[in-house]
Amino acid sequence: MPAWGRPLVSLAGFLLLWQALVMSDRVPQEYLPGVPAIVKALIELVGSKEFWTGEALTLARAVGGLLLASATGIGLALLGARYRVVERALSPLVQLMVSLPPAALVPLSIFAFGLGASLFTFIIWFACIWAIYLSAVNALKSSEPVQVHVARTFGYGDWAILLRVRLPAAWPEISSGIRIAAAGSLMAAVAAEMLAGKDGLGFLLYDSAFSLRIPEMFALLGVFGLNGMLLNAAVMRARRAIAGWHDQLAAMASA
Amino acid sequence: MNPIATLLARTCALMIVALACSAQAQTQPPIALTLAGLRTIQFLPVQYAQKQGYFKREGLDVNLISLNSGPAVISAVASGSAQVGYASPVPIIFARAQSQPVRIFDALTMSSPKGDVQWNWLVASEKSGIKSIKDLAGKTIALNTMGGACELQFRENMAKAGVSFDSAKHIVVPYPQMQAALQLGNADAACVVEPFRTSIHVSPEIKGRELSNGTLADRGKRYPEDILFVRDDWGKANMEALRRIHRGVAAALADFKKDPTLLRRVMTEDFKLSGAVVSLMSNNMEFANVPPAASDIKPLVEALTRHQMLKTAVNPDDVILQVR
Amino acid sequence: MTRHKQFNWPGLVFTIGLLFAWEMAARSVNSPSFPGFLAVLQALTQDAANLVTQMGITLVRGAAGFALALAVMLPLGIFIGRTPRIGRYVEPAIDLLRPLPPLAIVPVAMLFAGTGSVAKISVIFYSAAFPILINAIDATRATHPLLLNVGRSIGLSRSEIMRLIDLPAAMPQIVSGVRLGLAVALLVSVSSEMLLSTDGMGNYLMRAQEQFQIAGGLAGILTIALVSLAINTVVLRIERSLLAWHHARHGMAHV
Repeated sequence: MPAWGRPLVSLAGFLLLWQALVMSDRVPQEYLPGVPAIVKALIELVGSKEFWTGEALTLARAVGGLLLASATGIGLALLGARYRVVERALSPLVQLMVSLPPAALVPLSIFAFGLGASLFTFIIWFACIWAIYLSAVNALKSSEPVQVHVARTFGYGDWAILLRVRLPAAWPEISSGIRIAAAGSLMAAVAAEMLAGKDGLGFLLYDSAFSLRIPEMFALLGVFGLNGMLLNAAVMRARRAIAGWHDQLAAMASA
Repeated sequence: MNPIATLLARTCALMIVALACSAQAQTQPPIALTLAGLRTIQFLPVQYAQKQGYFKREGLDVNLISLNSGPAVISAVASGSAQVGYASPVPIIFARAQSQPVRIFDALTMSSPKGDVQWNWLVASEKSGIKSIKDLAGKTIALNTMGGACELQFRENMAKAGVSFDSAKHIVVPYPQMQAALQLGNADAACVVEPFRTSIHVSPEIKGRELSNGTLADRGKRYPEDILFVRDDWGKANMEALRRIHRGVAAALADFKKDPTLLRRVMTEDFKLSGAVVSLMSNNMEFANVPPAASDIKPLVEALTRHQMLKTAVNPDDVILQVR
Repeated sequence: MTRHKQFNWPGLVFTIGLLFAWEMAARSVNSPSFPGFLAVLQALTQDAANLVTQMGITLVRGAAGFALALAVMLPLGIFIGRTPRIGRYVEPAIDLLRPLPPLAIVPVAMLFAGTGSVAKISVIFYSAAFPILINAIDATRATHPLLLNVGRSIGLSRSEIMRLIDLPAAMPQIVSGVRLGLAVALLVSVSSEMLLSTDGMGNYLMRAQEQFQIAGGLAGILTIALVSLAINTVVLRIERSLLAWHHARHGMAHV
């Protein structure tokens, strides 16, 4: 079976389950439309310019916030790994912030950032950074002592050890954190767009619900899922580029 | 001089004067502002005015944005991201109670003593068995948000029927989900606006029954249902802009009055609502583009205080910005 | 050389410094939209009883959803991580469903489960499931091949390998995922209460927003933040004792 065959099989399975659920009539079809109605709405969406503008905006916002959160999260974690005092200073703040729903911050953030791009950047950055920072901190803590000692015997200084030994070893776990945050970035973008947006997929979702276009609403949910897959594939590709050697090692061993 | 030459000379003179005047008008830059609103039917006149270029004609450069929640609109204006906003008067009263720098300067719709020209309804599903407001005791009612116009509407009408608001179970559901909530029995009654009201009305599964309409129970009171508000300091410094906005909206409403089918056509095109739902909407959608006076705000403040929704004293004069 | 009992002085100093800066900034801006820390503290103490009640309601729902997610997703994740053949089919489905934002799922949940606790708990379960599942899968996959080879060479069966090698080796990352899942559960509990608003902290925040009680809203946010800090501290304590061997080993890397 080719590489794209397996996702297709699981998608097909999911759609079959959905159609069965719809036909069981537990919920009236006007609120839970069947696959044909959703596909029809999806085709209409794809033909509209508004949809593609929204798609571009939502993705741009999510990726922008994610990149910023990755840079700042990993940067702060590196700082914290080198100077433990930084990690300890930030610890209460991080634990205070990690469970705050970005949605709750939106109305207050409008005052500080207005309604433009900076609002979204802040909300999405806020939604992503804690997970990435915590993953990075945890990953950097898990350095193999053997590797560190070997590097030291070669005369590496602390920063060199950090960047050339511990960070590469930490990439797999960090990329897991980024993978999770990537989904969070999309969620935060959609939430911000639903609450304070005037464009983007989240806004379109709320708009289709507001105008009672339910098949379109579910089609948009499907689009969110596809976006998530896209983002995830991008993160996995980046991971392969940076930490691919680790997966290859594991694959060789389990062969 | 011969008559043709005189005519030519006069025409030339006129043209030069006209050119000079228009040149002067063009050298005055249009006033730029951002107008934020919720996408409800009542906001359509503003959107239509924008689309037809009526604001541009008045020398305004309006950036129209639609937001999805009342608090977002008010925060946007209070923070200066938008200069003008559209909302219900109730949140503005609450904003003034918290010293937020926003004031009402115009209205889009007013209450009506006629009893059928309204913009918000309380409806119940047939299967709930609710025949009138007093049957709401012990039932589940759906509101779009707590602490807003919807809650005031329920409290007012239930108090009038002698029933306590707290005797019913409340759930908060966004307007679009109210139809589903009623149909599936998650809610027995709801407060609704168009287009959901018509959609529920024509649904054979719900067989919705109208319990009452209008925010306040006293039909004799005069108050606005939908208003335009502005950030305090910007409004005072730009009264001319507020006058122009009023004229732009008035022009749009004049169009609607001239052609009764225009509103429905705009709804189908801009809202992409189904033609079936639009055609079944009530005929009585009367807009009232009248700047409210403090006396128009007083009934709302009194009602909110009476039901203990408003715990701080608010002076109705403080809520209005008089556009001179 | 673990520093269990040492008090986090840098953390305290940094946090107090931040609060001080906040209060100073609010005083200089002097706007009703920007209350200072002291104003928020006042709102907090005035409404303390109500805040505690609502927080309790939110926590109970969050805990229920989280417990469900843990019980189902942890074993499932380990199984999928160890069985690559199934993993290849299931993962695309996971990636399809994961990025669906909780705010968008809520109306769908409402169709099936009404507006009460069941609907909210299902949304919480759905959202908390993914960090736990994904980290369990990734962690199991990334088990150091050396360890697996050793296990195979001494003749352990497949299930013994899973229990004696995979599980302990994957523990650190799994626990990291569980910690994230916990944070997400609380976050989504609040968010779902903002949309299906009957009671709880989400409902409290919405009411504060509607009535422009910004200090009250911030007091609610502060409550959520403090509770999440408390939960995180407890979880860290548990994690430290559970993974004492891991920390002891890698503590040496810090020398």
